[in-house]
Amino acid sequence: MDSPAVSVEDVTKIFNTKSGAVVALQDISVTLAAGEFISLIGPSGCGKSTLLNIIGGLTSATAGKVLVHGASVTAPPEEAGMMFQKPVLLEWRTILSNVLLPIELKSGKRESTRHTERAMDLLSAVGLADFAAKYPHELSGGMQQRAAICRMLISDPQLLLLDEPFGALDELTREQLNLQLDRIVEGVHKTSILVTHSISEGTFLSDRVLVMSARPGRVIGVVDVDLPRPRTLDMMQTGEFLTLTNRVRLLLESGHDFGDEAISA
Amino acid sequence: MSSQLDTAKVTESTKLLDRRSIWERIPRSVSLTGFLLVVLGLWQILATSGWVSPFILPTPAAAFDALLSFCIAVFEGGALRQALVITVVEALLAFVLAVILGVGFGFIVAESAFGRIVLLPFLVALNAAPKVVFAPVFIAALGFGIGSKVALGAFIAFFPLLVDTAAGLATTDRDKSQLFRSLRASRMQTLRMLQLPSSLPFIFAGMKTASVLAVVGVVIGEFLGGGRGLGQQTKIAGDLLATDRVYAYGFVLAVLGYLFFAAVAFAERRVVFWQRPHGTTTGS
Repeated sequence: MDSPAVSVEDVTKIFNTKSGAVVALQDISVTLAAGEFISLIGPSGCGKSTLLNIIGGLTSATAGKVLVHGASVTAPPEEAGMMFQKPVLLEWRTILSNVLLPIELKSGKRESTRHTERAMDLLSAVGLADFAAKYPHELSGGMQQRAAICRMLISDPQLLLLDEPFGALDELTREQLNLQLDRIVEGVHKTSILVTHSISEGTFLSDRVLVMSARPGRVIGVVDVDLPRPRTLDMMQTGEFLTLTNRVRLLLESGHDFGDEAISA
Repeated sequence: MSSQLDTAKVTESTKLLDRRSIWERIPRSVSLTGFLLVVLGLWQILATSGWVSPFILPTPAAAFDALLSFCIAVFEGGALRQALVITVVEALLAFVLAVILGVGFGFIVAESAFGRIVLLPFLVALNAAPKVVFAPVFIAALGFGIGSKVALGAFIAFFPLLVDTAAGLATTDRDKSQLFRSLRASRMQTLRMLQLPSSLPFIFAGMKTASVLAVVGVVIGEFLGGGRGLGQQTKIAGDLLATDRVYAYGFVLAVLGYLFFAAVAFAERRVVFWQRPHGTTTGS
């Protein structure tokens, strides 16, 4: 129980491309306590999604290691649940059956039907109870992404890996989903890592925001967010919130490779 | 004055909006019937003009008569009904065999290194050969009964299905594959629950092509290998220079091919309900 929920130790990732080796991540070290929510924020191509995939066991690190609950990650850890930028629902399955997919893969069809009630509870929590029998193409993008939240949570993962899950949605839908996500995570004290482009989204949801630089991806600063939980949308209007987002913004700018003239303004 | 100008502008803009051609504006039933009548009219003129021998082109009425007597004969039973039944059965069996072979080899080619590296070049070379040259082999091996026709029909029809199946399995969405990896799915689970359903639209596209080719294949088989099917009846009619019957039987075989195609297309809409079908025409 003493070991941290997630521990990233000196992770480096080098991609071999046609034009030579590219250092995507350099000496990244992060430790997450159980129940902590952190965001990885940085310019495009800073390797933040790669880092998430390494923690999720989908990509291997070139050097360094990742421990989840003390165990070294070599394959996707059982306690992790992932969410991607797209909902990635299976079009030939109903919403309910999509939500039950992780159980069906892990324990078989029969076991998954026993989880129907829990799946329905999750769908109700995100306002999709009436859509359980529908197919993905009958739902809007925001609704599909909410179904994906339910699918991630059905197996009760202890670690949530969120790869820009709301990046493709409009601002208002995004805020609503952020709020719902905050409630869900708050209720069950899950350890979470969010990859995002949005300063306000990252700040709103996190206990800590890790700012990364462009290639080679490195953590160049950490902003602690000690706003009370549960978070409310009103908090986003406070001076405190603004101060925090400004600090993230300054760090981002310092690590951003804009070229010559862009910063002078 | 100004209001007149406005009306003129409005009509102008509606004209601009309605860019549809005349064929899009008149009802389809009218245009299809009209076109058919024009074709039949030209046919009639050509057939009665004396420019074309009646052994090459009978009048539409003669062909229609032959079709009518074929329908009556089929209705009353006897040799022609038997011929039709034989050809339908052959085509059905050829289609089923083609689906089994096409999907099966498609799986092997897409999912195994042996299939991809060793088998595929041979299959491609085989496909490049004019398949009809193998007809004598099938006849020698399977005789003059329906077996040799089924084999040739399946042989001609299976390759597009193989290609489509392999393509479907190979183009599984990257995000979905990653989801399955993150959920620790086994290879069999990924194949059964992700790749197979993902490739269904492709498999159906291949089945639509195969449905038509199966009919073509068994008729070629009958032309070359005898038997008692409708293709053989057509060939006999041709040998007797009874061209009206050739046209009538050709029409029946075309309808048969179309019905096969329509049945697969119908099944496709039911099974692959989540997306619009790939390629709505008969394919090559």
